[in-house]
Amino acid sequence: MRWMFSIKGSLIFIFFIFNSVLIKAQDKPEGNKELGNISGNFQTDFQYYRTDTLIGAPKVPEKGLLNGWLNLNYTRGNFRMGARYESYLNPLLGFDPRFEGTGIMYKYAGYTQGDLDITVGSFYEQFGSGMILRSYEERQLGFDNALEGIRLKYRPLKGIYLKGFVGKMRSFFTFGTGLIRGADGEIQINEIVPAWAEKKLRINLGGSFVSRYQADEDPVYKLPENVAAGAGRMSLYYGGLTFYGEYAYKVNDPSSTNNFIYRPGEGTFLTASYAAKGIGISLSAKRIVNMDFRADRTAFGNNLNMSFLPALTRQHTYRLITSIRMLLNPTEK
Amino acid sequence: MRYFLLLVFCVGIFYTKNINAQSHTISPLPPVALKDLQGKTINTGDLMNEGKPFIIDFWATWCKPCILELNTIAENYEDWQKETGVKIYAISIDDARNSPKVGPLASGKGWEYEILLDENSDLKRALNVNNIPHTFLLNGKGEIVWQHNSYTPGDEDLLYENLKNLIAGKPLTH
Repeated sequence: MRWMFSIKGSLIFIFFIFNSVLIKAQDKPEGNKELGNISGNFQTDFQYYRTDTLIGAPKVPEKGLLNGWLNLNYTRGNFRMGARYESYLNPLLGFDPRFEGTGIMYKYAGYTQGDLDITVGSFYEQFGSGMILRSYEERQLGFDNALEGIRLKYRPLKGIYLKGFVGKMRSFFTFGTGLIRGADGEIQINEIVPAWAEKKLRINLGGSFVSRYQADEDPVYKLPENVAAGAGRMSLYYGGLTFYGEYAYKVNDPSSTNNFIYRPGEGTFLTASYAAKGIGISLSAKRIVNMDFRADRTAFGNNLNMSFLPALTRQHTYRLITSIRMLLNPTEK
Repeated sequence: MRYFLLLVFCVGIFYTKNINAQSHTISPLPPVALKDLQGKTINTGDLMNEGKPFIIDFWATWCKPCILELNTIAENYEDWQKETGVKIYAISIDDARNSPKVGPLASGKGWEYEILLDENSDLKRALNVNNIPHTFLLNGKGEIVWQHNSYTPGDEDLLYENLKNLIAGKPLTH
């Protein structure tokens, strides 16, 4: 969409109509708890394009492009279910053209019973800062890597949070080949140790593990079929002072993004911040070596990313610099 | 033709329309786990204000209108609290890149809100929020009674008016 930002001068050659209609209709008469609660929303983004030979804007033979999303969620007591219908006819410029099509790729049902939560179908998940697993949706950036499968969340004791899942990752209107398994645990020391409950110093410890299985069908290379990655993290809080550190390691994972090398991956992410009335300071440092981890070793472009390794340390307001996740080489920075 | 298209451009660009058909509907908060700035896990069921109404506002450090809105409300927040006893939960949807900057930003601005993190947008999705800022007004039982998307100066007055209407038992307006 680079040409979007090069509109200059007195004549405007390219016209956008960005018309977003949000319709929300939550229909539940007060006091009627039997029927549960349905909610939803609908969004369409339409753009009309005119050619501009002076700035080399790409030709759009369709003239108008449209993206649309319809969400429906239903909850009743501890039960929930929902689906999202998506339509990219055809995908707006700047979106991956592989999105072309319509369909329901996101549908789920879930149940929460006390400290146990189960989701069947599609779900989004993040372990720690997301260095080895983050599945999320950012529709304005044309990114959605929802997992589909089964996920369990369990809190065996106060202060201990466990998560586990098995699934496949969404790739536009299909799924990636790799089978993904993952588990994550977090311990909040101050919740477990009663003597620490009111302490100023708070400590959280966490660990996560993700594995991808993909059969080796390569005629030349002997590729690892099971690729594992693990990460450990710690957060410290002391008044306005916060420290977060995470270290991740991935076994050798030859893929098309690292040119099929067998080097293991490593990542370190450290942040420290201080906040007091009227003042805020934040520092962060990151080291990434060969950590690009995908649900299919042959995936390319902004697709099937399991690891969340944003190229820039800041999240920006404008779309251009936010959408380029892989501005720098993810294999080393 | 050129002027016509210029007009279309001016009118059509970022023309956002909100149709809210829910003035008399009430829905509870879906169960989702959030984190506070001290790393504590907070469930949406824990969001309460001792039986008094409260506000949930979705924002992010990169969202300029959200910060404008929260800054504007911050100027009157003390008065709002005195008059209505309201509490505001400002829920940031910043991801792992920016979530460590949420605390410093909020205290740098001198905000007195309860700041919570929704790092992977789980609550945002469960509440059908497409774009931020998105503001929810909840009654004393923790049920959503009113919501508003986007921010233009003056929207905070509408929110406060509805908050007072809610307390007085009057119908809410959009």
